Amino acid sequence: MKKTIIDYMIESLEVSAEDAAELFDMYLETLDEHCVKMQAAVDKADFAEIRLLTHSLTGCSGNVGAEYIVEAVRELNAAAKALNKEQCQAAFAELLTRRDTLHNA
Amino acid sequence: MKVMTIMENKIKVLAVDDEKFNLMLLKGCLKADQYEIVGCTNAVDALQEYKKQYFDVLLLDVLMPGIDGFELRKLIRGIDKEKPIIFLTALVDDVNTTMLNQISWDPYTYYMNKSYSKKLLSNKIEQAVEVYRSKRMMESYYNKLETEMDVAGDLQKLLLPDWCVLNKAFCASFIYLPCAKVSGDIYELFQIYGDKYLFFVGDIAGHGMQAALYMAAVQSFLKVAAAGKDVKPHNLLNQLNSFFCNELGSGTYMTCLVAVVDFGSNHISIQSAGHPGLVGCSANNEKVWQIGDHNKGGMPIGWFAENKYTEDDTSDAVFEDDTVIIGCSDGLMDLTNKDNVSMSDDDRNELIGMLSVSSDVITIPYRIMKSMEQIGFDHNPDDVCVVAFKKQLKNEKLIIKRIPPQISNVSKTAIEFSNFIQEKTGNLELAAKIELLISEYLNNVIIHGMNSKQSSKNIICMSLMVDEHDIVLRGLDRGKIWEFSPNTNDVNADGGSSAGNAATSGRGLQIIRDITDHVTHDTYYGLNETVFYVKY
Repeated sequence: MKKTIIDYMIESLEVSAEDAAELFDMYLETLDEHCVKMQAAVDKADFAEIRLLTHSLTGCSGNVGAEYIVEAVRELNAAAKALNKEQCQAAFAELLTRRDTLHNA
Repeated sequence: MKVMTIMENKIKVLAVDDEKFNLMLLKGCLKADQYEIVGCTNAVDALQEYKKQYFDVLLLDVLMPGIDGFELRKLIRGIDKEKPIIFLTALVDDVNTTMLNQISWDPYTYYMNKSYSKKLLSNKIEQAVEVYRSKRMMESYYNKLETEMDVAGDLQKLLLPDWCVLNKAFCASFIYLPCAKVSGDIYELFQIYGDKYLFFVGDIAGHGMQAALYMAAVQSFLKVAAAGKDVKPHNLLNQLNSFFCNELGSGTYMTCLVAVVDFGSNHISIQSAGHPGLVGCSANNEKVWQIGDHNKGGMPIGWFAENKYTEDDTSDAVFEDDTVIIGCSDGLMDLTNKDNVSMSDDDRNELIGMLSVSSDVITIPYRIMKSMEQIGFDHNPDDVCVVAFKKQLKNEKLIIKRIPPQISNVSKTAIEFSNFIQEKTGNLELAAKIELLISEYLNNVIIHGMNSKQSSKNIICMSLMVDEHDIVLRGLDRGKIWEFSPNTNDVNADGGSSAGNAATSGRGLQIIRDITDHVTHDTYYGLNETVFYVKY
């Protein structure tokens, strides 16, 4: 998964392998920051905040070709649009799982 | 024109995204030599940065806390309405009509999904910047051209005779109205030898720079070809045709009228090359008549190199001492009203006839234009040139002078006119009054009426007539249009003559009112005529 993202950046954004590795680490940090904020928003059922955060995370993830994350974020966004707390919690749990997978890749 | 290409200049990009990672990614992606990127995480910082330095393009996120991308665009548009803006957004799934409308109402805004590739993003940026830079280059080139046309127009006016010419042989005046900044109309009236003068009026096809350059070339040619020589109209036309076809040879042409005027014998020889003929009028009646045979003449200059103008096509006429001879370019005939209808020759001649009774040779071209405008024939699709000239007659009671609009000429003129009064009337007090009157009038006109137009071409024409009980002093100037209200002591009541326009002494208009018994003032198409009456 990490390789997919790095390859995407090298190929599509035409960055060097070194820069791609650095950008990947920065992406993970950004993903973590979003997850922390997202946790608080989901707990409070702050659907508007969830939508803002998912929008931002979709952008970052789409930029680096992290489709695996984008899919989970879209689920979460759809749940927030539907104002469904349970669905939000489930989608967020899936996002965390995928994030962890990425961390361990 | 050199069109700058993208590769010649680095592209300066202002990227605005509340997510720092996205900015880092952009910087990594656009790191190549041709980009210089400044990143901001909010609209306020971005606006400050935009005001501080030049950017070629902005990359904006749409959704940002506080001021969003659309609001920021509005603020940028307040500074530059055409700066390219590319929205980068992840809202691809949410794109709807409202959002598309928000993006697309502005023709200099572009859109890209955040899942961009470097190739797509670079292409989009370069395309947007190229459009912007090309437009700027065109505007800059156009502005430079406009400035050069202004200079060319000014130079062209310098090549023409002064608007009013007075000499021992004749009085002449003309109005010259280019429909663009430069004109293809020509007018000349200069001495060939003795009492013989060459009158030339022409119209080179077109109105732009080419016509103006041809006009300058023809003027130079005329001086060389005619001055000091026994010129006949057909010979001069043949020389001009050869000059046009062989020397200039760009396929353009010119209509013109050549006349050799003998002010000693009141004889005129005329030949037209496709140009409107001359008409005559006088202050004694309202009639206008043709000078020479308007059915004679040849084709325009420059049509055929082989064309020969012959003496048979020259017509000869005599004129009276008081005949005012009027020539024009066909721009006068082409003046139209709001219905795009031009005036018939008969109506125009009737108008000129009526004007000739109340006008003199110097004001008549301006009065014709003013009257045409007053009756609605003010649409000017072509250059217009109207010339009037008349034999100069000796009049012991009249002094008439052209005064270059410089302050140094004021005293000289005032004294000269004052001496004339003294010589004709022996009245010293009157002479002193007239000297003061002329000083105040000229000071007003030169300082306040011509503050930015003191070109030697903008001469002031002054005449003074000593009648049995009246002194009639007349001034004609082409300075600022002003109004004179002789019946009030309130200086500010004079149109445009508040403190800034009063005489240098600050008492000028009051002095004029105190000295004169009656003052009239009129403006004819930019020509101010002021007449002062002083009883004695």
